[in-house]
Amino acid sequence: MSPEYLLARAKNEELQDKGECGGAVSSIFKYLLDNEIVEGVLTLTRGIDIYDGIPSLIEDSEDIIETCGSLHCAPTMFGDLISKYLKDMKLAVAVKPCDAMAIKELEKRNQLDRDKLYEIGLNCGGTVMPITARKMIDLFYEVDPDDVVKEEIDKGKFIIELKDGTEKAVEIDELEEKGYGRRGSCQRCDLMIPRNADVACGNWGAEPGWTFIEINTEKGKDLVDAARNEGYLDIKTPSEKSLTIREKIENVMIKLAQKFQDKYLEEIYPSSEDWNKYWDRCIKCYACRDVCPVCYCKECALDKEFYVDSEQIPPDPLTFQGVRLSHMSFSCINCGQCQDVCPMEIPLALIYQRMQKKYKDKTGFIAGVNEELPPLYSPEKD
Amino acid sequence: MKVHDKMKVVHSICPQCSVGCGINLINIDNRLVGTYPYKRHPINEGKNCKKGRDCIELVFEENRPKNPLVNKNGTFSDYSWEEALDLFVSKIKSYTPQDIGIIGSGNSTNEDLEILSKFADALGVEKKGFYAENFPAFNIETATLDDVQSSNFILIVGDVIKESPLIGRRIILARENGAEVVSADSADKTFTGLNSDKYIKIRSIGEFLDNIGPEVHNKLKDSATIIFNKLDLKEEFEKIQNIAEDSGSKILPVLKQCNTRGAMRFLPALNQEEISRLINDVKFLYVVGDNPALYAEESFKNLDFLVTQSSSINETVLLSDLVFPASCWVEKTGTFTNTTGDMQKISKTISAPAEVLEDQRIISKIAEKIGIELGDKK
Amino acid sequence: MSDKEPKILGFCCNWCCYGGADTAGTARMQYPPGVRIIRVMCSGRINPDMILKAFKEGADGVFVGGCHIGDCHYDAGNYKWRRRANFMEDLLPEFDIDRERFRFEWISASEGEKFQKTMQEFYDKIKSLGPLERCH
Repeated sequence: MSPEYLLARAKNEELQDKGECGGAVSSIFKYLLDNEIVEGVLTLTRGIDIYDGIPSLIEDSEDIIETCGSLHCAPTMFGDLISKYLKDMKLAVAVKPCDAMAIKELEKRNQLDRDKLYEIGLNCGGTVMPITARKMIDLFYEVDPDDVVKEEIDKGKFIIELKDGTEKAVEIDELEEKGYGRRGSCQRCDLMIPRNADVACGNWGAEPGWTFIEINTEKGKDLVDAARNEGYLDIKTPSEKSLTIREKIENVMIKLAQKFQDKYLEEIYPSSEDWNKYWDRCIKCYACRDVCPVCYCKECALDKEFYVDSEQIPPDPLTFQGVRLSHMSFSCINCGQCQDVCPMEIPLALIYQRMQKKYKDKTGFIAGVNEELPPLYSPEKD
Repeated sequence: MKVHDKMKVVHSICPQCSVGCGINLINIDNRLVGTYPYKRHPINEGKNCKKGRDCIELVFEENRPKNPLVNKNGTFSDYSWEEALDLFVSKIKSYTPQDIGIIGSGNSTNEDLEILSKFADALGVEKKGFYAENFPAFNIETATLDDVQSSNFILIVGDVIKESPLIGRRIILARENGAEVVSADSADKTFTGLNSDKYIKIRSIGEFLDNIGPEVHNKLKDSATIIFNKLDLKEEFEKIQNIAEDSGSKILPVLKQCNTRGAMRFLPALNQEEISRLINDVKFLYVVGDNPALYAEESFKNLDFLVTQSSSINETVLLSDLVFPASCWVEKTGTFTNTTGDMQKISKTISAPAEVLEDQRIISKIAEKIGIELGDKK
Repeated sequence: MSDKEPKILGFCCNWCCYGGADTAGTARMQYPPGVRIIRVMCSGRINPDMILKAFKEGADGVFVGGCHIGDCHYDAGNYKWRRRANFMEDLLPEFDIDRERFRFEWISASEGEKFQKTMQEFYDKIKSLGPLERCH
């Protein structure tokens, strides 16, 4: 369908006030729960502090208010939580673009039932690892990370709000130049608006107190219409200026991401000597395999005896990482989870994204975005 | 706020080793089904080793006693708690404190260990302790993981990177920042050696420590850490401590169990020989949370009566006359002190099977039956 | 250049390339003895894991031969293999394996000469590259 743009906010004043950008997303969730269209909402809730986002399944619409507010220091992944534990449930889920990409790949592999899911996409400029965030707040903001009550990414800055209401901001460029800021995968990610979800929501181009929504599917359109008709959403049409601003922000961010791709996947990509050093660290803990949202086989080639010669570590990179790459890299959505969980700090996301880029250049297949399975799975004579 | 019973992601601390990593557990209807990265945790930032991610297997019911069990000529039969406690009490009362031994474990919480220690004191039992390999009890300031990461020089004894990957990670990060890493062990090569700048094959730890040359010694003066996860003899701990003091470097002993360091505050830290001697010298042995049959089976021959309190069926349980089913880490609330000395809280995440009780409750029940006071209970 | 005899592993499909090898053999066409052939039913049976395993086990070069495109005994097997082979060409350099150490070719059962020529060429190429040196 052709895209449709609108501005929305919650009718409920409490949600409007507490929710991000007028609470449209919270209100959509509330509508879905109140009307028993879904059995649960999978979203992030705040754990011990603002650096701790925990995937939570909410079943009572009264609790939606608790999920309000964005958490940028929570590099979570929902795709495989759904396919592993929640696929029988009618569910609404708040997705970052990488969550939506994982869901897309899992759907194509029949690992979840897309009809049971409402994907409410959230525009994403990237996430920061929680401990990195705390360190950089200490270093660059000279603030006790425990005094921060809210954080936000806006206009190229990482902004923190303190207990006393004051705000401090530092340019993300500056943070990232010094090895802080967003995760590597997020810096190199060029999908900020999750057009692979039913709707994509965010503040880019929106008026204050409103959420900009891009409708991506019929299901998303019906949902927003119904939420408005049932009195959950105020809707208005965005101005031309709104659209232009949003497009401009998106383009700037895509350009930046491409710059980072060129830098990290080509210009300063690790040499083969570097990789040999990285592979030497591998303790064969399978964390990369187990966390990968797209990798789902019950019986894994890596467990087959002809690839496993002993429990010796490090494993031979050809038949460990090599086999994993040959199974997964062309489907890599660059969510970066493999690198996040690697106890030995092997920069796995670099080699996976690089391989998926090569594959994209050859075949046109973009993992997590295209509707079809990767051509490598094709039975066709082409 | 109520989260759906269908799926909860909850924080926990990994019980598999002494590093104290955070781990999120996925709980569906009071059953642990998986783990999820706990990226907010300062120790491991969401990274866990395989053993850590497999921790939920410790809970699986098939592998654990679910009722008090009494061993009659090699077959175990279920007893009620009342009967089992009566049996315990009647037996223990028939021995003098000199004939009673109590073995705790570095896998128990500080709170469980505190009660166990009070229980031993109330009974006047002196033959008590827990297995700490060759590490002596210590109460000194040790290096933090951030210290390790910011070291300029790291000296490692043992295959630390392989055996404690989340300490290994800090060594790797230090090395990426330019630190020099020298490791020593008795094998021809080790994984840690492969990831060091220099590997030294040694005959014994004592000999190595006595002959640390000026080259290494000088490097130890410059923001250095000595990390070791094994000792041949208890005295070597002091040797390492002296080397560290001389050179101004920090030390990080990497202990075995999730609360070995905490247990040192409550029970004597014993090595294999000392535990074997303890078991040999007593008639009645009460084991809480450990599996001494694994490393001291020989010494079990002289026992009259063996009671084991355990959350899993292990070698010692199978040798026991009486077995108390105990809850495991995720079924109770308490604290673990990790190898760097940080005390971390664990919370009850799932309920134990109906007849399985927490260590503290079992010990209190016994004390009550015997008629002894354990002082303030937490 | 190295004097060591290169180790080359060749996967040949039963219906075409293996027939080609046979034809070469019956016609007494010489090809280098360092080439070891494994007969598989179809090139579509070969997956990247096998190529990686071959290099891991010490092959200096790996060859896969299938039926000409359009001639697959199982209709589309060689198409599937071609997609994987294209992917392999991108993956091997990531592990510092020269993509010239990996070759695939379509050879029919009657093309004994093509088989012999291909093997000789590949052998010469591998010989000139020298033994595959890996630090693992």
